[in-house]
Amino acid sequence: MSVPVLLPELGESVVEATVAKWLVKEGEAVERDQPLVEVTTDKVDAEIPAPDAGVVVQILVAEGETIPVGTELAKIDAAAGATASAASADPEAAVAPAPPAAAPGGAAPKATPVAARVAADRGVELSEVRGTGVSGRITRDDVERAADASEPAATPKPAAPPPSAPAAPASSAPAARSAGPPDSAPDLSGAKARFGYYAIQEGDRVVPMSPLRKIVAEHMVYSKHTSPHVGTVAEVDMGGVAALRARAKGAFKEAHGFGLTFLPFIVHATVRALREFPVLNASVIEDAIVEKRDIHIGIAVETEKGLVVPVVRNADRLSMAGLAAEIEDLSSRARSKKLSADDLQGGTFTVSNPGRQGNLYGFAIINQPQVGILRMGEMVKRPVVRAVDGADAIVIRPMMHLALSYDHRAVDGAPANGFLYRVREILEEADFDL
Amino acid sequence: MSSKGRFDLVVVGAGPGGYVGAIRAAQLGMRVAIIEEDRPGGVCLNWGCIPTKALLSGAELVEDLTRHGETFGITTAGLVLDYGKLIDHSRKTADRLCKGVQGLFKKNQIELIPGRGRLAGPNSVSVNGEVLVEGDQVMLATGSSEWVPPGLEVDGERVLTSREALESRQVPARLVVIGAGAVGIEFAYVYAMYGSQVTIVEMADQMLPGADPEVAAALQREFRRKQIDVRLGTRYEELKQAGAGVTLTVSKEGQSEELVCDQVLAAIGRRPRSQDLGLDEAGVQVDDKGFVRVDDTLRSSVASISAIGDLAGGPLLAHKASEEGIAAVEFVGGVDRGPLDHAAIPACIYCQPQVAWVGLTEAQAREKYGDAKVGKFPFTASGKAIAGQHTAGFVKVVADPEYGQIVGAHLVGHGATELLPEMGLALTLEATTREIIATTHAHPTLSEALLEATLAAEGRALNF
Repeated sequence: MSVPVLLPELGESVVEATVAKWLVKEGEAVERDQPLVEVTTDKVDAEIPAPDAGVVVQILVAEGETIPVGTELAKIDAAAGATASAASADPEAAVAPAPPAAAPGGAAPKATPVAARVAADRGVELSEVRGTGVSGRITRDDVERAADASEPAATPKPAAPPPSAPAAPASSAPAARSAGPPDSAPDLSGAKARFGYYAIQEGDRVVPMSPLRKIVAEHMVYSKHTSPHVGTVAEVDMGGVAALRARAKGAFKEAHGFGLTFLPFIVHATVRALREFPVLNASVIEDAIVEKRDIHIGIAVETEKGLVVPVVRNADRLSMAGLAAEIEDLSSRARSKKLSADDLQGGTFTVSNPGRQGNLYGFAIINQPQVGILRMGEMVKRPVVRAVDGADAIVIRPMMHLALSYDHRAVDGAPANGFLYRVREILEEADFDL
Repeated sequence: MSSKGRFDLVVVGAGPGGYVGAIRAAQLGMRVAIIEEDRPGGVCLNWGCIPTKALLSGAELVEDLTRHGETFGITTAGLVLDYGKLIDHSRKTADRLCKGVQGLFKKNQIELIPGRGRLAGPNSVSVNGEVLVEGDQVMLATGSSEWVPPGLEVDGERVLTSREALESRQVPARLVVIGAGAVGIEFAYVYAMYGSQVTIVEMADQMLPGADPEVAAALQREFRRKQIDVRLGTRYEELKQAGAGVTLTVSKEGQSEELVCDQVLAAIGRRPRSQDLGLDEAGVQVDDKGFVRVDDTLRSSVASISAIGDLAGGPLLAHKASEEGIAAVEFVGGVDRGPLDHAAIPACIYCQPQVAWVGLTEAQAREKYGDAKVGKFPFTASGKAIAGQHTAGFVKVVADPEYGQIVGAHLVGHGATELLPEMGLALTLEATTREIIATTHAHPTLSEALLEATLAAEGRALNF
């Protein structure tokens, strides 16, 4: 009996996903609930489990393909026993062709005479070909590479008979392309960086961008392009918070089962300051600045697969302990990749904690469509001047830099500086209700 | 060791690769020093391409007068040839251009440091072991020198290479040239026109190994017509001094033969000048023939050191060196340029008839595309050629069979070297026979032969 493996709903507003990696081969016997395939969306990574025990008889979607929710990913024969052969072919890697560089000014792409003729003959759309010749001209090689890439070696259905290829002269027919290992490096011969020239050399390591990496890259560029980022830095005396934490952490651990870190204090201070400076808890939508009622704080977490930003919902309604518990839950699920798509949505402001090696300070890129992001620096004991019994004295205090990047479209310097100054004040007052 | 300070780029060797690269670097705003032990301009300008062109111009004039003078109403009885004066003209030509290069250095504020450069580290070069010149980048452009087989001792009297021949004011009565490459053929032609009885000995079974065989065969016919004895498949074995002359033992298919002559010109090949450059100590790798190994951005195994031109491998041509000198600098300077393309490097030989080609030979094209469109047009059918009495040779255009892309052109004839660039441009632009045919070629010109050959490739020749 054949059981279909479907791409399930992955969360609110997720309509499609990209197959990142197959964890099983055709012909392999699988247990019920055994992870079959990793998929990536712009919100979340997920593993799709086997709906039943059996043998994977057919893989229907190649790695790198993007498919809508509900698409059949594979077929499992639930009746087949464990005796089934595991010798079937690997799933073929379908390397998506690199997106073409847009023709400058939207003009028709420039191609050499013979490239134009080959393109017409082999049905290649010149606007989809990246030119590597003089002045970015599309050469015959460029067209032939594009034609070869769209030919059946990249078919997502390895078990199906290959569709007939467009007629090519026997002399120049491409050699049969063997399916590379799933994470084989992309062929970059002839590829070009957008600016500057670099030829890949022997000894260079070519790391294909993972789907998550590509999404991150796209968002970073979009954000820098959209928001004029301005930075401001505060130096915060964390002595009060450190003392409070030192007094409370034993009891806290006993009561809640996990350690109390500095992060909840920073988030709590941020939330309190945001209530006083709502323009930092906003989005620019069309020609309006929308100050949001709710405060949902994104917490940037580094995982082995890259950066994710789970969201603490209604952070202004949580107690310190509740906030700490929520952060603890989200970051542990982020590291074990158990976040749902909904965990990643709806943030209104972000706090980034780069951890122990965060260095003095740094300016993070705003997580769109928010208008601010606060990045923590390292906490270091420093000599600072304090009034002791009415006289200036040098004392040792744990100091931390907090850097705010804000979107100058929505936020002017005065409220941004005021907000950060307020965060500092709250932290230095160290009046937290544990 | 005193110091010359630090530059952005230090170039070792001011030949056509090094000096052009240096100027390009200066244009890109780099501070450049260039080290040269001989005269700026290198072998090309001083001891190769340029001075030989002066000699060949003389030879060409002699041939036109003696062979076709009567036709044009010029009586050449009593014609006196003074080869020494031709050598003077050749040296003056080189001198003038050498000064020109020095002027270019001044204009571009490039510091010329005379002396022999040797790597002293990844970022420094010592000059004559006395002065240290440091650079963020070092470009090696020391070129190549004549190669002579063991047992053949160059004395400048009986046995010469092109280097000695360019200063020798004598025309030997009997000359044997070893090697039918570009250098051997050009000198054979010059000496033959100035009165030598010339024999060319070549190991390969065609003149100009690498040229289209049909072109080589046509050249051989023309040389025979000029009374130049061309012996192919013939190996040089031994040389003996015999009184005032020289006896050369050669062999063909196991049969030995002795050639008696007054002078031998060894034009067998060149080897890279990579010895005593400090390559080993600096960690720069060379291949088994002594060429510096470079990647496709011309960088050696040491990241700060690049190598270009003859030193970095064949083809050993001045224009290839210049192209590489420019490319190496542009790669370092981050100029947005395409990769280096060696597919369309032209080859030109300047004897009469001239030989010039670019791209694939007919055989290479058939191998690559399974078949080829080939069109030929002989200069005997060209009105301009007949008028000037230069009817030897032909033009051959090679196109891919499916799309008509021009992939090669092979010319032998009077204006071959000056006709070639149209075909070079066609290759660079990936033009097809259509674009050549759509281009109006002025009438009457020799260049019409290119149009006619292209038409012939499409089976529509008009005038043949």
